[in-house]
Amino acid sequence: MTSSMSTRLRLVKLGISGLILAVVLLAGARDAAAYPQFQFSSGTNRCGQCHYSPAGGGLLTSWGRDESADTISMGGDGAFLHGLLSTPSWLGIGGDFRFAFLENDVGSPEGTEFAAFPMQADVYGRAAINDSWSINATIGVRGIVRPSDNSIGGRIGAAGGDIMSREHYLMWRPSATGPYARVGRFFAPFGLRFVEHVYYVRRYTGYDLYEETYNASAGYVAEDWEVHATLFAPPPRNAIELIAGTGPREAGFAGYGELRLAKTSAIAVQTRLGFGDLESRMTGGLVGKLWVDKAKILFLGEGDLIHQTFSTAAYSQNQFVSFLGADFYPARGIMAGVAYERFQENLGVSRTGRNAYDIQLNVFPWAHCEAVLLGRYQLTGAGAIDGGTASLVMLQLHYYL
Amino acid sequence: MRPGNSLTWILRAVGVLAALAPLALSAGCGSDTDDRPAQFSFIYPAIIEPSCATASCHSNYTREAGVNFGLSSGEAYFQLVARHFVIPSDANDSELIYLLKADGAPRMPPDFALPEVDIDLISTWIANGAMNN
Repeated sequence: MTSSMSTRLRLVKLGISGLILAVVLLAGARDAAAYPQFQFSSGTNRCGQCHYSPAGGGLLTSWGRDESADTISMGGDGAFLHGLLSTPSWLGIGGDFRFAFLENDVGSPEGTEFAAFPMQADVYGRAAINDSWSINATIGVRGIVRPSDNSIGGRIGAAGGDIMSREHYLMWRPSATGPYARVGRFFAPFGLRFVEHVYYVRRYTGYDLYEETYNASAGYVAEDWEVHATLFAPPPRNAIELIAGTGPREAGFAGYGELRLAKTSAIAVQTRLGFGDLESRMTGGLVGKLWVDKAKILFLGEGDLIHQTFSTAAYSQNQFVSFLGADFYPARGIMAGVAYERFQENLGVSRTGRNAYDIQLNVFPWAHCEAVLLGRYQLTGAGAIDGGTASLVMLQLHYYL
Repeated sequence: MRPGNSLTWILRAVGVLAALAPLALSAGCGSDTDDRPAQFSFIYPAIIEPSCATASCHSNYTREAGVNFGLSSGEAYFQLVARHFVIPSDANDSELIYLLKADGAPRMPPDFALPEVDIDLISTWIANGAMNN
């Protein structure tokens, strides 16, 4: 190959890379994409095998990139930019880009809502200082579901103005298994850790969209078990938008311990103790997973009891939130799931509950590409139609770097 | 069966039970009497903050319609009253109730209706003078 051809090829590769990065930066930040559905079902025993984060989510390791192509997708190359460019071993770059179309009916007199919007655009970076230490950061642009200018241009323009970093932390992790520690902003390990923030077990436990906290966390990951302990605090009250957050302003402790059996099942106990000015929550729960290889079905469950106290109002209440789902993997590159969710905001008062029924189809036609079709039906009240109903159909187109 | 296998299966059964536990509690429970305080110091952190101050709606980030319920309880109260979403002692004419019931107004929250008992509690707070108590 002549030097001019080589230069031209390099320029083309750089151009493609720049184009993809530009597209990504036009959308919105969301969540470090985590797929707990792939634990056991893909032959992977623990989340930290595929992700640099010891609790999963976010930037993929080289093993995770290989798995994303060879096991999870129907084909392709899972490497960064499909293998067009390689990064030095100390540098990891990745990202998630999602565009969503939704149809939402909540019984509003305005009728069914239709929307198309950039949902997520996060770029992940990891710089290894040496074999043990690394700096990790996520930066993205917030997606906006309902901007004042409802046109596609208005949606992209509205999203483009708000850059934020949901995760940034320093990590000590000398090996894939063993002890680790990290300090900075991320979600404290807890629960099933779905990518879908609308699920009740995320929304009502302190893990809704942009509720990442500042933490000092440590843990130990072994092949068949892991424990994580985290002290957390909310972002500063008057923080700049880059690092601001949402949700109850609680500080406290989160603990999660998981035991895995025969590479096909896991049971975890967890707690989260959050103390705020207006309210405090003491949460305890169980997480379970069971992979039935013959049927190619993964069962996932989580149930949490929450004791919430309101200091000024001198009142306390108990809550319950749960998820029960099953995912079926009929062929490589296809995942179909159903789930039932329950949240009761006060166990002492009837008709304060809500139920959700979900059906989801994920198709991974090629490495880096995913289409997600989600149907969700919600009932408020005691489960009967004495409250409202809501139905949602959403199509997501997802590309990861 | 070897002891190790027994332990494995017992733990797997516990895992399955943990996964199935939500079904056992799915029917709902509780009394028909609502003993919750109709005070803003309860209503804000228990209902308004988790339902309305979410990332895509009235949060520090998004401020839909210029409304931000994510700053503090006091600021949320000020916005509800000063912008006339709430008319103290007059729940029937308070826009907030129309929005929550989707009664001639767009449904709030836009992703699902609040339970009727929550709307009733907010109505009671307004009827009692909508104090910042």
